[in-house]
Amino acid sequence: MDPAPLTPFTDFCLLFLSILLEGAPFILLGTLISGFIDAYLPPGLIDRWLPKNKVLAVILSGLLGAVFPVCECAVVPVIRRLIRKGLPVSCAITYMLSAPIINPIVAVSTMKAFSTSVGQFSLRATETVAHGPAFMTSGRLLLAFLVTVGVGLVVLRFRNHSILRSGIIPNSSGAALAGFDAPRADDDAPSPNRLVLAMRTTMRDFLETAMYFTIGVAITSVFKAYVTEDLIMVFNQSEATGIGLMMVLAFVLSLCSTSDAFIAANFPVPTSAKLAFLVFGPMMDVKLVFMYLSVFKSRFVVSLAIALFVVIGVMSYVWIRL
Amino acid sequence: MKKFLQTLAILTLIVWGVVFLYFYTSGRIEKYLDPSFRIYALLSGIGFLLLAAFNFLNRNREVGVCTHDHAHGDTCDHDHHHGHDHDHSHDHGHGPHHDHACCDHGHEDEHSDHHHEHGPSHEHEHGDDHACCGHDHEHGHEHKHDHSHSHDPHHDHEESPSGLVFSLLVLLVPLLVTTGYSHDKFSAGYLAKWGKIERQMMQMRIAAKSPPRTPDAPVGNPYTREGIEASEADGTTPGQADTPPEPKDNKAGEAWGSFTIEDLKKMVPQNEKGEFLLDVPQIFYTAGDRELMEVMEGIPVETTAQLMEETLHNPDKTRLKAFRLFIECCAADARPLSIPIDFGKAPPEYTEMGWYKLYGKLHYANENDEIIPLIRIERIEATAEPSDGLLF
Repeated sequence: MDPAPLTPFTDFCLLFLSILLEGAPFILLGTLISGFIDAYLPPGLIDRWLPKNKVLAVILSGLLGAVFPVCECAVVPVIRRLIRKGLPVSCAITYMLSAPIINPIVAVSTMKAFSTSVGQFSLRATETVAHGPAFMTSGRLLLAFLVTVGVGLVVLRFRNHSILRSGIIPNSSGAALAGFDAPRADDDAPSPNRLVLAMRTTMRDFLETAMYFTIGVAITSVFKAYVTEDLIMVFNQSEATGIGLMMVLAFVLSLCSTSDAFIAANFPVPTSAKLAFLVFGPMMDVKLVFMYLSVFKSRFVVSLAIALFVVIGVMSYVWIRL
Repeated sequence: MKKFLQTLAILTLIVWGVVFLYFYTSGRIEKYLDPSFRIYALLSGIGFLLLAAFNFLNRNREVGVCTHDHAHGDTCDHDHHHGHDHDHSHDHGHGPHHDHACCDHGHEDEHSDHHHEHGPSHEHEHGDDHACCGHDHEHGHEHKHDHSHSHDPHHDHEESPSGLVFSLLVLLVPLLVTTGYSHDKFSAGYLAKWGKIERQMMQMRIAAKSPPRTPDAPVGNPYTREGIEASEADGTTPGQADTPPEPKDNKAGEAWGSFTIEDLKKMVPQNEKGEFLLDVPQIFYTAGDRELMEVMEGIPVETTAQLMEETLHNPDKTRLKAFRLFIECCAADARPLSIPIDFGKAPPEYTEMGWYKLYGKLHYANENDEIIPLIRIERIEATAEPSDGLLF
């Protein structure tokens, strides 16, 4: 009997599973962290850690990824729980957007990806280019830092209720940030109970985050399996087109920030478009949209996506001309 | 119902754990993930099962803490329906000195031990929001929230069982369906589509490095020895943009040192007949590198690849496509890197996407102003898929 034919649907299955197998471990890690944060992190502690000055606090949050590197899949459940523990939303969003880029792992992978123009199959090092690995890596990290801190400062002006889903607001029923959500009544509870709480929170957070992740992965896989090549090959019509389309591509491909540089490095588009791809993708893609919706209101997510698209596009264009 | 949903949530974790372990232990994972990522899949499979087991064994244990986040799994121990009498001894409203670290105004010490208890239907009204801060303070002193548990409709307590069931279906159905239907390999159509994109990107990359050709410039292959000699004879310098830039440091200069056949022999192993053992991606990426192409034009090569119909560069219908899949992290970023192989006549019968050893001479054809690396085939042999069938 002939084996079942390979079809776009079987391609979809392969794509879906590969992204799921790659990303789910990091979501589990993130939700484990979130579970322990929920059970063990005393409320108010984050407030004490952060600088008193709100601008400094946001700036510091933009650099936290260098110390606590978390990929974009894991960071969502982490900040979701940190918000509940009293981390200001502005700082949480800054950390959420910056950590997948401003971390040592991504810096190394970006350097590696741009170190040769043709990757590991090159028989020799090729040309020295003006926008080499150091430029691309530093540009990616610096641009991401500026953008994410900028977003954090803008978010300072908004109220939690206009950004967060009601179930996420530290005290949706009205109490203040520092107390309601925490196991205050059980501060002296025996540790096994806290562990139970941590594991229950982990399970709950994983199931919710993974649901949104699954939807995003499915959409990405549909795109890759069914899109036509003609749609892809319009990137070089102009620099502006390249920048915009590379960000759209980053959005739909939903690549991991540790590997996306290898894709960008080999794309025959202007440097500014590659930069936009590398900065925008880890902050906003299909799977992230659905994961963000587990924390933020849809109106905020849409506004954030549009703002990031415009700001990163313009800044990438300007950046390489500085 | 709550216990039933909790059990469903635990079962969902078990299914995920089993699927992840199945992929790892069956070896299927080799078709999906780069080796460095496989261990994470194994660990997470174990993690899912441990998490499920822990929550199952402790399903009846009282935590005594309400986290007010019962989105999924509904794992809180107390009854969340109305009329309960458990003590929400949460902090209500900070005093004027509580500490908002990111605010400019100074609240000093937290009144986190400011508990008060209330009946099931008391109300609080929140007064002053500090919109300047990233978070809402809402620590007014006219608390007025309704604690009869008529929370807003989006509060997680209110999630309907049907919503939770939907979530679990989203988590289970696609995973199980794709596990059952995936063939662990891409269709020819997918490979042709993304292979075409890779080829087009390569041509755009070469074009970006080359000066635009004037209308009366000779159309020849500037990368063969004949082409180079011809262009030098008429004063043009094809591929000028490919010449190395002035080295900015010694390292760059070394990297661009002139490349010779001796260099190639040092870098690339040869079989007993002297044929260079090159992978398709290695050949693919030589296109556009003037010095490499000069050296490699006409060399005997052996490579192992899968074969498909050549649909892009096949003017005389004498060619097939040899390709290899290259994966950075997971199959979703797989890139089919391909080159044409030319038989000089109608290709022999072959198995679509079958594995073959290919022997022939490397050639850089210039067709429609595009540099096409290809192999002029001398013989092919069917072979089994190599252990490194996917290139990582």
